[in-house]
Amino acid sequence: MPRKPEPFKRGRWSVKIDVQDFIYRNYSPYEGGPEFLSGPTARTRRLWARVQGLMRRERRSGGVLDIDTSVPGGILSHGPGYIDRRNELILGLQTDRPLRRAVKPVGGVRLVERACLAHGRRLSPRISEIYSKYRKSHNEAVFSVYTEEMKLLRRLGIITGLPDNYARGRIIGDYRRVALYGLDRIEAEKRADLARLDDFVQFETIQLREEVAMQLEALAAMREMGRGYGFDLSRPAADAREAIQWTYLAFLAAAKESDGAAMSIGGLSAFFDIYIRRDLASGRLTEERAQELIDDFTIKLRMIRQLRPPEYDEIFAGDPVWITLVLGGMSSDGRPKVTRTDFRFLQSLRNLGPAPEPNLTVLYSPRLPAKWKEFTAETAIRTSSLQFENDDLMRPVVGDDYGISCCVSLLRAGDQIQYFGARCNLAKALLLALNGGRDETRGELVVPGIPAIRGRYLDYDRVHDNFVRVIGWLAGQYVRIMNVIHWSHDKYYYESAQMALLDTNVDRLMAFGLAGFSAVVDSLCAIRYARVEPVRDRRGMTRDFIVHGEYPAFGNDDERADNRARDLVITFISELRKHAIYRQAAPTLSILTITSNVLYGKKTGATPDGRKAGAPFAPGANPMFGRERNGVLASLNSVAKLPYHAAQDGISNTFSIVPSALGPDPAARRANLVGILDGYFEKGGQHINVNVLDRELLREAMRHPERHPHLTIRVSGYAVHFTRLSREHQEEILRRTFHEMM
Amino acid sequence: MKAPVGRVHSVETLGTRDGPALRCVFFLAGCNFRCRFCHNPDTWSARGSKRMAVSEAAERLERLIPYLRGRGGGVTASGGEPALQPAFVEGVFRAAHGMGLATALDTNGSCPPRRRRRLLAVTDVVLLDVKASEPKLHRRLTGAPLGPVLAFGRMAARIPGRLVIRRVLLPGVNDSPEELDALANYALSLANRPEIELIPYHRLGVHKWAELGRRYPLEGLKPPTAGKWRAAARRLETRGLVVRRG
Repeated sequence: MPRKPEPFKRGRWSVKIDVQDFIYRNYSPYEGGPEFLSGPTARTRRLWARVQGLMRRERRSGGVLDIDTSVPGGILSHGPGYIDRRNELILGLQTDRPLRRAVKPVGGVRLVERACLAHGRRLSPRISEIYSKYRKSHNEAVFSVYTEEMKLLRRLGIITGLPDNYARGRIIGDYRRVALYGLDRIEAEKRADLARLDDFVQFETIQLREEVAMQLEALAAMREMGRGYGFDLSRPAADAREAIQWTYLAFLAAAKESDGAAMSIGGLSAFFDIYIRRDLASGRLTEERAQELIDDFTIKLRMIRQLRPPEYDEIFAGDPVWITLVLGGMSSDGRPKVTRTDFRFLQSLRNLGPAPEPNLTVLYSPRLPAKWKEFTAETAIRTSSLQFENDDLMRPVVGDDYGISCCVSLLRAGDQIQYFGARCNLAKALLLALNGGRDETRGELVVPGIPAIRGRYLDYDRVHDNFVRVIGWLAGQYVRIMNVIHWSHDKYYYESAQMALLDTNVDRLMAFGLAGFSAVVDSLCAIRYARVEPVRDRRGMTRDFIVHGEYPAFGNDDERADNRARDLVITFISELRKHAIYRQAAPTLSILTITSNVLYGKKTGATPDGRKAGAPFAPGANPMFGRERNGVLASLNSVAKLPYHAAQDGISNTFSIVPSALGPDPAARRANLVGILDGYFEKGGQHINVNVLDRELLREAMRHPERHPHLTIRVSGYAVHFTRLSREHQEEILRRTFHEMM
Repeated sequence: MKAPVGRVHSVETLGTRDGPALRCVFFLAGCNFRCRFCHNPDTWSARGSKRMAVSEAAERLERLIPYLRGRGGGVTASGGEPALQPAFVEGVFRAAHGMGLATALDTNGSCPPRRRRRLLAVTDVVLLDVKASEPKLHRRLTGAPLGPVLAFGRMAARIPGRLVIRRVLLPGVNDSPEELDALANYALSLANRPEIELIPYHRLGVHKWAELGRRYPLEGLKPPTAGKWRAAARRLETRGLVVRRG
């Protein structure tokens, strides 16, 4: 007979909306190992097999299983949907059928039409008519405001990947609020906020009043959506299953309403763990059932789908939604924030097999419990599905309750948002500096007042002067473009479900980004330390560069290159800070490209570091492929030196290795990976993707060496870059690495 | 005294196979052996190598401390033949100990006899390559005598746990029962029993021979099968030795 559950410890959270305080007072750190975990039950296996069958069908149909072309998506656009109603523990789908995608024409109706066509469907003529005749979309609004200059920068790919033709995403609603407080309480607070917003002299007040009114509508819609599944979201969740269900439905409302490029979900593990622990203690839940709940929640997150136009897929390969979920971390009082539910989330990767979603992110500190560190390392080695981020670097900035937006961007839970701003192609900026402000591919004048650079060899001081001028001018344009986009997005594509679950007065960041970073650092080093001879075409545009001599490259723990890298980041953020930003947002900067480094590289001419026209950039802040001559740790050190204070939107690093290079046996590999992570984060690194490559990934590396910058093969006393070997040797490594031959 | 300067072929900061845990490996240039199966023939000559002061090497190590310290990791001197540059290696090892890092020497034992004691005093682990145990075979494979190799090992084994014997297993060349028994006899004759690392021969260095314009003398030799490796390991294990795969 289950006992009555213990009441939660009360605190500030009982009076105000404050989820952090609730967690802080009620969670229990777990310092043990993974022994307690449960494998998948027959029920979980059946349900997951069914979903996998649907996913196979989806892949076979060209990546999209089904589109509802008749109704614009919204919180209430579709009634309840199920996979297998009797066997599901956590309910809720975006539309009435699994993997069926909704259309979201407020982002831009033409894009939705194209997306439908790309998958052999036709958008309902009625929707086309409404959204072209009667309702303006975000995309149209932005383009009606853009200046010719802005359009030129965009067209030439200098400022690129902008959320002007797709939804910005990146906002993380505090979905836990629905579980902890229930919608009634959240709504009451919002009504009180609305009543206090009465200064009608300020344009901002009017804007915010309208937004809160939209948030109230979203809350009402969430309540009704819950009722459709038979749940009463007005009240707080009573047990673990409800806590997970309520949280999921809140996230689902957001995913139904918006199709943002990245829809992260924040940190949930310690929060869920409080409920699970209480239910386990009162005998209302078993470990097996607890694991089933997390497995089902994970399955649901893996089923989130958005309809994307083909040009989106070009930038972000692989149909991602970036439901980034953070695990681990430390509490502000020095206790580890690792709970048994953090282990349970990693266990889902085993129970269901690895997958990119949810995008599991371990908030890492060398001080975390050893058994947890080992378990995360082992999971990373086994699945290549984890990324690690430096909790010791981020916690001091925002406290111990935060999420990661998209891949690397820090957001405090509950009261902070960011305006996403894609990136500036820094390599193109450098080429503008070398070509008198003209674009290297088209010869069009972009930046006024940049003197031409003459002479057989590039002169560092002149190049540097020009480059700083170009950056200053571009930063100003970049801020203006972002102001336009986010003004329009707020007006035409407001994320009312997510914003309803945040404080009314939020702290705003505007996230700018850089691409082609290491190519530019190396170019500056080449000009400074070697002799670089530009090859110009008839118009005088640089077509290629001949590098005479050697130069220190980024990625070798060499101060000559690393100092230039630091300077570049600080210069760019300082330039951004000179300009007024929409809604007083604070500028931040990321060095992150995800998969777009290939596309941006394709559109960029040759650079003075010796990179050929059209060749890919390194991903994120990675050193250029093949220029790291001192091994992985030297490369990690170079990236770790980049100043986080100047790039608080995140510094992304990708690390690929084959299992045998990580150590001779599984225990050594685990220990060595922990050593690498401890070291990298102690050195101040912010983010690292860990790919321990299996056979398939190695095959991929043979086809696309540019995607695997660190791939080193190691046997006793011998190391080599995998992609530098001949085909034949690569085959040998492949065989050797996987123990087919000794 | 003049500060010693090393001739360094390259540095690998993530070494996972040359000594315990994570190691920063300095590959020194110049070798007195000419092993027919060498996978680093590009380190035979000191020509084109980088001159590096002990202070420069120490600075690099210092920047790696957080990765290496506290779990048995540290620095490994390899090559080439590091023991031919004992002053430099000693300097680097001394600096490493000052930082709380462990030291390992991957060597064929060719340390000038009068420097042996000093070098071993700062070496926590000696990875000694014994390429063959029959003197004639050793000379044929390496171009050098076996005696000094064994002598260095004997000194290294005076401290328990310091010596690891490495043997690259060349099928049909140095994996005969007689060879393995001779290796075991030597190992068991030492003051402390060394661990044996049996490294399966591989052909990953073959392309370097071609790049250097040399003919690879063991063309046609294949890596051992898993069965052959196991059999060799078992033969040594039955003599009471601990065998690891290298």
